[in-house]
Amino acid sequence: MYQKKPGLMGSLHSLWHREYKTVKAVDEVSFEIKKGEVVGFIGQNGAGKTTTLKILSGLLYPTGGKVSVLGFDPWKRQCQFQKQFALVMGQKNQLWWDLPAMETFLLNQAIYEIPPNHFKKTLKELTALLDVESIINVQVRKLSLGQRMKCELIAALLHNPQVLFLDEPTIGLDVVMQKILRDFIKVYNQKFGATIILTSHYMGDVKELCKRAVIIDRGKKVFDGELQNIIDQYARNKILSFVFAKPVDRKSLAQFGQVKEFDQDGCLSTVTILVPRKDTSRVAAMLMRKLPVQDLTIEEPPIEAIIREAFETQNKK
Amino acid sequence: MVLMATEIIKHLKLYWKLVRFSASLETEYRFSFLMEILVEILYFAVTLLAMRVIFWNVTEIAGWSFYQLLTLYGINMVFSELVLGLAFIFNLRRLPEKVLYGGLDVILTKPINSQFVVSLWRPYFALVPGVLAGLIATFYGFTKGNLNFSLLNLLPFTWLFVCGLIIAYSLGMIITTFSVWLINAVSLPTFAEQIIFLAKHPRSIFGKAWRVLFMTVVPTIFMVSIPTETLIGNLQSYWLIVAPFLAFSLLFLSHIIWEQSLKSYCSASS
Repeated sequence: MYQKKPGLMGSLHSLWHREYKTVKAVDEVSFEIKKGEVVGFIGQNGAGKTTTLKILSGLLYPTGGKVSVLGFDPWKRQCQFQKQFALVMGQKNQLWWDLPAMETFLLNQAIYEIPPNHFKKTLKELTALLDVESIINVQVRKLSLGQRMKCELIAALLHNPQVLFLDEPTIGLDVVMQKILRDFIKVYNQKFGATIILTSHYMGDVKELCKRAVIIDRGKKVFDGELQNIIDQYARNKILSFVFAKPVDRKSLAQFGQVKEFDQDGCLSTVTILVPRKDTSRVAAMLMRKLPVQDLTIEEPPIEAIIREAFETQNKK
Repeated sequence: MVLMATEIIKHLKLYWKLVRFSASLETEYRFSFLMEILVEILYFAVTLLAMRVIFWNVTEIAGWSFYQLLTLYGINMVFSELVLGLAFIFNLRRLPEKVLYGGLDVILTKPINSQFVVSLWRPYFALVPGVLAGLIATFYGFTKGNLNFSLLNLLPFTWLFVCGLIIAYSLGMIITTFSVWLINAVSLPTFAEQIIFLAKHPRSIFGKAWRVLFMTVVPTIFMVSIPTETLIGNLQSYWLIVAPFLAFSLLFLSHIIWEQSLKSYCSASS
């Protein structure tokens, strides 16, 4: 990677002398994925998630290591392989901007050599699932971002790929549209048995769709396992939320854990305390015994916080 | 062999579909489409006028009379419109941008020849009036210049003309492919066009050393001059063998270089 010095002098200097730094975008990332699995790729910006997906789909030529998808070497970009997977990138599109999405669908039918009956059947199913029957004949430039993303998904799935790489498919969408797309991906996985690898910055996507997650940090794999295991491994605390029937003293609560929220409203007190996981039941029981508890809930911290914790732990190593 | 034929048929069918899509696209913006046609016609008229002005002062240039030159110009016009309209305007000119912003990603995942996609995906329809104007100029040059037209010359002319198109395409592809390595090389397609369109001059206007260079190392002036000479009855028969050899060697080379360049494609961050 070219390292440019700042300023005009730096730019002029770079005309005849450049300094390069070797950066391993992905290093020793090994994993296997079973047919039909939905795996979430989690990592901060620049961690190597998209690079991994691009290598798996044959866009980038790996300088080392071995990659096999459906028994093919992706880099060889054989037609037989390309007809069995799809890559959907939330920030790149394949739809023809000035034509209705239907025209792109027809073009993809020709590119993937989809038999007419099969094409009609799949198109009908996908448009019904995503509720876009009425917009596929409208010019793409006139569609909303959410509608376009739905059509992008249809264009990518018309050939019923066995493997689906989704790179931030819900980026920029509102929460309602995110939910619709997640539901669709879930149904598609169940209905067609497709193997799905998903990268997303929205933990809701990963939490709702993936049982298994792979965490990548600075090109290296730092975790590979069930999402629940990340919670067990990295979530050191649980969240205890109380409603007390009488006012309580904030200082008296500190002995039970870290007080995150404290709200006194008349005679009711609402309190949130972070408690080490292993002490949760003991602390809850003690509070119930000592204080006038009206309501109690015990929750895991949000997945975002757990992942942040995982990265921080990794950085300290 | 059968597999290759199947692939060619698949790509031809696809191309036909793309031609229809492109036609739909062009007609989306009628004013822009009409302006493009107008520009083509004006360009033709201005060049013709400039040529006429020169011939008011001289009777021939490097042995070429006005009407012979008009014929050459007409053929060159058809040639350049086809090369620019089919391979450059919407295709190779946009390749550096696709490399820079990762637009190749969508292309490279499709079960289709990626070279075909980057170089021939979308034809430019405003080339049609240019081609027609070129044909009219050729016909006019022939008629007024009392040049001997023979149907026997038409077949070798077509053969050499098609070879010239393949050579032009291959050279354009080879030069523009370097943008995959250079990343930000928006001027490469223009450079390629400049090299290719050296072809518009009759080969006799170049000095001997330049002629050898342009006929062998960078076989550009061959592309229009030789077919034109063939059409007006000066066929040198060895070109009928040399031209396809040159054309398919360059086409094959362009494919090798393209595939090799993709190993260095680094896409763009999402």
